[in-house]
Amino acid sequence: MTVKIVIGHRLGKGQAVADGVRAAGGEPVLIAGPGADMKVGDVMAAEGAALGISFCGSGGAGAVTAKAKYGHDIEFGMRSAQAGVTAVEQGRTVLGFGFLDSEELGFKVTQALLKKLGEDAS
Amino acid sequence: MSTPLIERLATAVHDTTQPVMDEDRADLAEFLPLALAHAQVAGIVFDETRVLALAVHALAFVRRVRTAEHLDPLDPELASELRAERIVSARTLIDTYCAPREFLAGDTEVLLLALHFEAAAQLQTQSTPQA
Repeated sequence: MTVKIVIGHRLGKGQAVADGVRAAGGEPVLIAGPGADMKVGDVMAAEGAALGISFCGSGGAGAVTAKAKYGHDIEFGMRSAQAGVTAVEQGRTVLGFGFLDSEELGFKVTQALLKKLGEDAS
Repeated sequence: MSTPLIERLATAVHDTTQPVMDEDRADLAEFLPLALAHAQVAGIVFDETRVLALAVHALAFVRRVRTAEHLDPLDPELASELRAERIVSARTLIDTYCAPREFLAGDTEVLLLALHFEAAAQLQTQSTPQA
């Protein structure tokens, strides 16, 4: 089963995170262009994604928008891969980060998500 | 002291590890009206989605001011993508809030806030029917 993870970055970046998601066995859906953080919830709904990762200056705008529009369980203002892992373990479905476009983040968050989905299924 | 927007924000982040606290409400009650007045002067209307995004950014901003935290610099190219007057007015807004608190915000704060205003302005332009 393919697990899709949507990535939206305020400045149109996020490629490194997408590489990390792919390396960990997930399918990244990288939203192109500036302001992509605000589209994470919409693209998650369209793609049937399990998780959304939003990047902006304060790490909250995209996540809060996804919560308001789709009722996602969110965490925001995060600044490390480990914070993202913890949020996934807690069942959050949209993660809001500051500008942190790193492969490590994508990899670790995807690992945590796949582990959680496996646990939830068993 | 609170406002409907602050309560919308508080509801949105209630279940996170960083819920809106009383001191956040007090600071937001000062900053958000300033920001929205600034938008009105610039002719920018924030829709329901954008104003909530502005509010959550403001929440992080007022917290950084309280703790005297400075963000890392952004790519200088970013500033070149924004109109100069947008950056100048964002600087004015930020300094108006920060000066009584004896905090000098860095250029990153200015750019991030200017981006929110620019995004709202562009959205407004796109949604305005052309004659």
